[in-house]
Amino acid sequence: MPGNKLVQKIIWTMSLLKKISFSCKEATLIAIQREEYNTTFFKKLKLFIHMAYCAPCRLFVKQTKIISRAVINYQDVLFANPHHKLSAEAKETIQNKINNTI
Amino acid sequence: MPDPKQWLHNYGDYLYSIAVLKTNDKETAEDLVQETFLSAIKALPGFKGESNEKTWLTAILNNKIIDYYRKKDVLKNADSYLIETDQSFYGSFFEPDNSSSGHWTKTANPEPWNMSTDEALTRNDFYKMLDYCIGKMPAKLAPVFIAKYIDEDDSEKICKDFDISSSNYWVIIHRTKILMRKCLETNWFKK
Repeated sequence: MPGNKLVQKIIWTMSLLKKISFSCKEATLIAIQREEYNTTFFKKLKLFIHMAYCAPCRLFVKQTKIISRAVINYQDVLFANPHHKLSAEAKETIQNKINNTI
Repeated sequence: MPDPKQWLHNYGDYLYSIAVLKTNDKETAEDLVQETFLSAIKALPGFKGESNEKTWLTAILNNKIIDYYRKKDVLKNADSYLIETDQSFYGSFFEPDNSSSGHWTKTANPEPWNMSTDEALTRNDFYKMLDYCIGKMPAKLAPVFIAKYIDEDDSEKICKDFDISSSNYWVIIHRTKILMRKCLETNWFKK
C-alpha cells in the first residue's frame, strides 16, 4: 500500500529529527539563553525542530515568559503593598538611630 | 533635598520586605535596613539626586545584602553543589537522555494553566505566592533568580557579584525557572 510507505517515511523522518535535535533538558536551557543572546545557527535549527514536535516544551517557554514578565512588576507591587512590616519596637530603634546620626 | 527623618516612614517596610525575601531571616533583615539608613546618611553629601531616593536606598541595601551573602558563604562552592545535585535535580524533571530522548517525566510535564495569567498580575496574593516559591528554592540558587528577575541585573554583574562562571549562571537560571514554573503551576495556576 502506498499509504503505508508514506507513514513509514514520516515515522523514519521523525525519529531522525529527534535524534539530531535536543532533549527537553537541553531545549529548555537553550530557549532560556535565547531570551538574552543570539546563539549559533545550528543550535537555533535544533531548537526549532525540537519545538515543532514537543508541545510540553512550547508550553514551558510560554509559561516561563509569563513569569518573567510578572516578576518585573514585583518591586512596584512590593512598594505599594509591603509583604512584611517592621515591628513597632524595631521602628522606634531605627528612627532613634537615624535622629542621632543626622 | 532628601530628608532622612522621613526615610523610615516612606521606605522602611519596603526595604524590609526586600531584605526578608533575600535573606529569609527577619532579624538579619531588620539589621540590614538599619545599616542601610545609617550608611545613606553618611553618603548623603555625595547623593546628587541623579537617581531617585528610593532607587538609591535600594542600591545601598542590595550592596549590603551581597556582603551578607559573601559572609555567609551562600554561593561558595556553587560548582560542586551543582555537580552533586545534578542527577537528583534533573532526574526528577527529565527522563534520562538515552531513554525516550530525554523527555519530561510524567509528574513534571508542563500542563496548560486554567487560571488567567493577566488576572494573576493584578492580584497582590499572586506576588505573595512568588515569595513563597522563591522561599522554597535551594538557598544557593534563589539569590541568582532574584538578582536576575527582580533586580533585573545583567548576567555580567551577577557572575561578578556571586563569583560564578557563565555556564554555572545559566544552569542556575535554568533550574530556578523550572522550579518557579512548577511551583506556580501547582500552587496557583492549577489550583
